[in-house]
Amino acid sequence: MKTSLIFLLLSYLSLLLNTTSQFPERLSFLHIDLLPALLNWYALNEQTFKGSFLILLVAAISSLFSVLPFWSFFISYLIAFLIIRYICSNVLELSWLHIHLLTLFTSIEILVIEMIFTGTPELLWPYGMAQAFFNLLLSPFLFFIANTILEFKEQTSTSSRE
Amino acid sequence: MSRRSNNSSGNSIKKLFVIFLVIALTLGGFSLLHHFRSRLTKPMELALKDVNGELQDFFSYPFSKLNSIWKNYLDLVRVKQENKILKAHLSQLQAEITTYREALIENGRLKKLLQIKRKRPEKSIVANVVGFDLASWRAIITIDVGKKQDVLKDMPVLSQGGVIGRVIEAGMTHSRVMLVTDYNSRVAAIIQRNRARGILKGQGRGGCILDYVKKGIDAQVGDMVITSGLDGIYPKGLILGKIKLVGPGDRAELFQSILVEPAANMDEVEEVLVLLIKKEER
Repeated sequence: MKTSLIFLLLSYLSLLLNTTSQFPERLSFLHIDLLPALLNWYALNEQTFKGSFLILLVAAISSLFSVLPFWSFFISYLIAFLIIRYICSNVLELSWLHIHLLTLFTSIEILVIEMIFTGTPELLWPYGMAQAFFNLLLSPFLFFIANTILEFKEQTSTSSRE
Repeated sequence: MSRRSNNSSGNSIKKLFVIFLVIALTLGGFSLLHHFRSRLTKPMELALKDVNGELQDFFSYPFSKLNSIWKNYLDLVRVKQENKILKAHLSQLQAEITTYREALIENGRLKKLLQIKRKRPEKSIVANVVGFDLASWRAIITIDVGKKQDVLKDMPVLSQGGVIGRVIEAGMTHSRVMLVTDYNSRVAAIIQRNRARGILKGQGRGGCILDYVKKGIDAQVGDMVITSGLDGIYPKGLILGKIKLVGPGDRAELFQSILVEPAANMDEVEEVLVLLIKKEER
């Protein structure tokens, strides 16, 4: 429940940040997109069945910020979520690097699906890849924030139970 | 009686003489003393004064040093305080300058929009750009006007330079605008100089291309491209951009490849003008 709440809250903030921030001049195609990293963090911390419902909700929220249809977001997010869940249940231990490389993978997967839906898959190179690598750079930062909030929540709930 | 008076006058003269003598001797004595003193004691006195001066100098040195250190310290404290105050003033002034500069730039932009507004016969409304699309590769912006302000789908949107796009989705208070540089954007256009028709297609960050201009038509770099009004969305004669590059196109192709630089800088659009033209008025 806590992870779902954090995921929902940070997703909304990430969407707001993504649709209002813009880098100047030549970097204006890059956006601060924390959602792939957040999706990765959520998939690593949540059960498959319960998580899928939240993905549905986040896809619905995402579609409010875009002209792209709801199901393009839902399909791209769900595929990323299920693949990470599959990796989690089959790989014994994921290293720090592997976890963040999963963000890169998630970013590319989401961008490919959404670009196909908009009829511009050729934009994956170089813009899409640049955005994916930028998301990879943001990933540790997002994991730190999400984990800190989760720890804080857990601490407060344990102290209140005591 | 007269003898007595003679004696008394003689005594008084003597007395006066004695007084004068005493004064003269005193003054003489003083001048002699001064003479001898200046000749004998003055050098000694001066030498002693010099010694005293040296000693005073020696003893006053640490005190003057301490004094100057203390003064410097006080000055430093005062300067530090002054520096702090000046820094605060400076940052305040810088903030004010930034605000004024921003207002000045905004004023310039709005003036240009007002000029366009005055030129156009249609009703129009100024809007601010408040966001971008989640799909960053799409050239779509969100503006802060909607159906409440009579903004409807397919209304043309202008900026200082010229056309920037059209409304593709109108909410109650906010609308989405597809820029002419978007990959899905198509605008019926003509080259102003020779009236050659074409379709302006969005190319994302690459600007736009003017397609379907037949080979052999004289299109030159710098020619203005304007709306033709044939698409039923944009009124005729709005500036779209300038021709940046003219290529021959493929041999197999019938048309030239013409690259157009949009009139407005899409990355820097902050305020836009929505022309409130209803479908039936077009």
